[in-house]
Amino acid sequence: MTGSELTVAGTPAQGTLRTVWAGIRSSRAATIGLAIVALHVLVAIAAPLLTSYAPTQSVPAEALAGVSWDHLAGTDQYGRDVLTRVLHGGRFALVVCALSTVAAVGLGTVVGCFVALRGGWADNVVMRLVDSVLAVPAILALLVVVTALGTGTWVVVAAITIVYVPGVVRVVRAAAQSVVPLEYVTAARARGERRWSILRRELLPNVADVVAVELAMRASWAALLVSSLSFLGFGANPPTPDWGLMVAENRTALTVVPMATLAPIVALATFVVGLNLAADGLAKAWGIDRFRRDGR
Amino acid sequence: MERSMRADDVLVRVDDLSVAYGDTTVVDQVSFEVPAGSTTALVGESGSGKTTVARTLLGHLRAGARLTSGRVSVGGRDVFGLDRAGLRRLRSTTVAMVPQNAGHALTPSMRVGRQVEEALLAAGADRAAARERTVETFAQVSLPDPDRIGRRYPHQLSGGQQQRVAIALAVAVRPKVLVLDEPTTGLDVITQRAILGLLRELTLRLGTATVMVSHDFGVVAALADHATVLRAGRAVESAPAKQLFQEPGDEYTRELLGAVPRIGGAVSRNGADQSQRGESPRGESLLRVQDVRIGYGHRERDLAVRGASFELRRGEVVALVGESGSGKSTLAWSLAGLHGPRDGSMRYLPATGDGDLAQAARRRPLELRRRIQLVFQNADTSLNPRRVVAEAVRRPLRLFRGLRGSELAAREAELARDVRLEPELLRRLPMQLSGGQRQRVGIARALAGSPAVMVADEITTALDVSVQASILDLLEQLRGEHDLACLFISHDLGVVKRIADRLLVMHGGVVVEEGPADAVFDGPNHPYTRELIEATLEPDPELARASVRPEAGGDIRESLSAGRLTGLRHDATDPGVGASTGAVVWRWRDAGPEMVELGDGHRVRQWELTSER
Repeated sequence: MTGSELTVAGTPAQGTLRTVWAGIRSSRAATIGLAIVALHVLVAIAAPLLTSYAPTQSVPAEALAGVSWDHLAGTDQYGRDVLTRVLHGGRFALVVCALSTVAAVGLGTVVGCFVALRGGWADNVVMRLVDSVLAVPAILALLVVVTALGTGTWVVVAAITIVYVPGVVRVVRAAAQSVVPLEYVTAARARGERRWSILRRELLPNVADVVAVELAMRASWAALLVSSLSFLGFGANPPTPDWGLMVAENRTALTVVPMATLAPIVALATFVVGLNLAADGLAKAWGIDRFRRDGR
Repeated sequence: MERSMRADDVLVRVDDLSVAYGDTTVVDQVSFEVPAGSTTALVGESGSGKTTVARTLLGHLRAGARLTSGRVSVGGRDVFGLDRAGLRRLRSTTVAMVPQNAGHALTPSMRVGRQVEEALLAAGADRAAARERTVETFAQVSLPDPDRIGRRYPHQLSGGQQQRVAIALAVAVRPKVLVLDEPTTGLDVITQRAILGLLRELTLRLGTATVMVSHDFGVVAALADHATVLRAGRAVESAPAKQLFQEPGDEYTRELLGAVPRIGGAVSRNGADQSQRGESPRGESLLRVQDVRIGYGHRERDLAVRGASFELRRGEVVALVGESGSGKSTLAWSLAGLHGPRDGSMRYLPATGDGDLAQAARRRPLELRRRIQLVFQNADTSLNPRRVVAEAVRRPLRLFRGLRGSELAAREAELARDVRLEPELLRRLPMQLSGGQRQRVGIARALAGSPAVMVADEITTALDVSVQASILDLLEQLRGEHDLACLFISHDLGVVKRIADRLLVMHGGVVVEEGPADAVFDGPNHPYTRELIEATLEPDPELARASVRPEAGGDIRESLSAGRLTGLRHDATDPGVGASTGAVVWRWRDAGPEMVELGDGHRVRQWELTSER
């Protein structure tokens, strides 16, 4: 490759990144949302450095203690420090949430683009499959999978992926369908390009914004779903610190030590709100509107 | 509601109007006046500010735009001095607009009658009167069955009928001022002629002051009494239509008028080209299409092309002409391997293999695939918006020629020069290029595979006249340089006349006439071809107006006996001129598949007469 080739090849990537960054910066909601999410990720990573307690260390003598200088958010029924557990409690949820969202959106995007491009019977078969999965309530489907396969991290990731892929397929297919009839795709087809090549070169870059928004939306739903599973006893196992599990463990003592229940709820809520803000901001900043404005 | 009407009533007065969008001035000190009962055209290329000016008559400015100087007064009121209620009153009663695309301007989920009634109710009529007036207006715009057509939804109407409804919507409230924004741009020539005739008649009958926006000098010639030519927001010339077309005062106007392709007279191509075309040797046959039928479903009536046969020779431009829905694009797509024919044969003759074009692009051998390339109509959507345009050219070079590295870069730059494009421009994204530049990239992409046949699907339709002329020049040069055969699909006979060696006229999925361009334009013709030629508007007020007059086109039997038509089936009964009363309209009906040979490859499909009340 020559030098000029490299610079030319570098232009679009740079341009795209810059566009994404400008999109985020131009939307206050997206900026705040992403900042909240980033803060949660940092806290989860650095949790052991932030407190002097171990999350599973129980001190029965200090059980059900109120808010104090030693325990800023009090302790639970086993005398474990609530703040420590809340700081650690995002780890499981965040990992599962990230893995399953990336897997679901990745798979759903490829399938969605493919069926939009392929059309015909393949499209019909896949979409009817999607319909049938969507007809089953997510939490019910999850419980079936977890009951059948056990409760390991990977099982939960796989289960959430399966539950979310159909929705992503549907959204991405709709976006891709508006790109497929455009003439640059037709040109690629007339060149006799392979389907995978068309998908990668012509379709993906043009549905990327939809995919990004979908990623943020799905991540917030996945976080809620993981916590729901843990709350129901199918996600994280005791004594692992986990938001959903903590709510389940401490709700009986709600009147005695409200912070033990409220703190994990607040943590989860801020995380989900952050993701939602990011998704909304991104959708507004470089959704359809923006494309129109540029293409004018 | 009778209005006192004096011819010198000036209803629209635009005075020293300037509009800025951000820091950019998009309209710069434009002034004009429109008296009642006359039509003023704002002519210009895209970006000239003509639509912005027209919309100020309705008190509308695009978001972010602002008035920097001047006054717009409509019916004696200063439009930009009105409050919200006043503006609403102005829009509902005094000034109305006919939008460019009626298909998008009508609400799809509402019966068209209701939509017109709604406009009347907004203007203060009561329900019963509104209903009555709606039917009346539908009759006025010559919609068939005005009593019941209001029950239809927009999608149940043809494009021409939708445009008539949009016009009814505008004239129902008897506005004093009518704004027409490219009123016929999306329509085929025959429908266009009918709509223009209607608009002309309405303007005269209702005494409205009409302001029309158009880029098409033929349409302007047919409708306008007075024309203002805009360029980059400035009025470069303002003159009565006749004067503007006959002795344009400004250099820019002359340039634009010179770029308009015409079908009449000797002004088609310059002399050198003409002789070159005459001498062009009949090259070897490249493409043979025989009895091809192409359909989108499985039934007989789903056929878009029902039996097309033709040949394409090396270095030859064959134009495929016809209205939308005539099957011409389907045929082109089929040749490019995007949609397989149901039966018949399509062959690329010089191929080493069997050169069968009936198979999909993906199944064709690489060598065959690169020989037939497509150029698209819409330069906006023919390039991937997220990739630099170099990528569009580089991909086929890699795929078809296996080029890599410096060789690739060199060939890429060479292609850019071939289509007269600065190689630096290839590093831009499509939206950073102009429409003409994008179309050049599209052509470069097609050339990358070193094709023998280029299929050009309406490639100049979306372009401004001056850009269109330069693209046609480019095509002309390329066919010499690359020995290209070109299948040029178009509905614009002016463009076709300029570039084509031979013509194929399609109607309803069949080729109704085929022959050398001159022979087809001189006639005699198939009635459909004749209709197309007569409906094509010349940039000349007298010719264009004659063309849109309601009685234009005349009786098919008169044309036949005047020798302008041929191909009437010999055993069909000819009722002769004057054989019936005036109420009967005679039309033609296909009587193929036999063709009548007129010599030199000029063939006309047989037809017969049919009467209609």
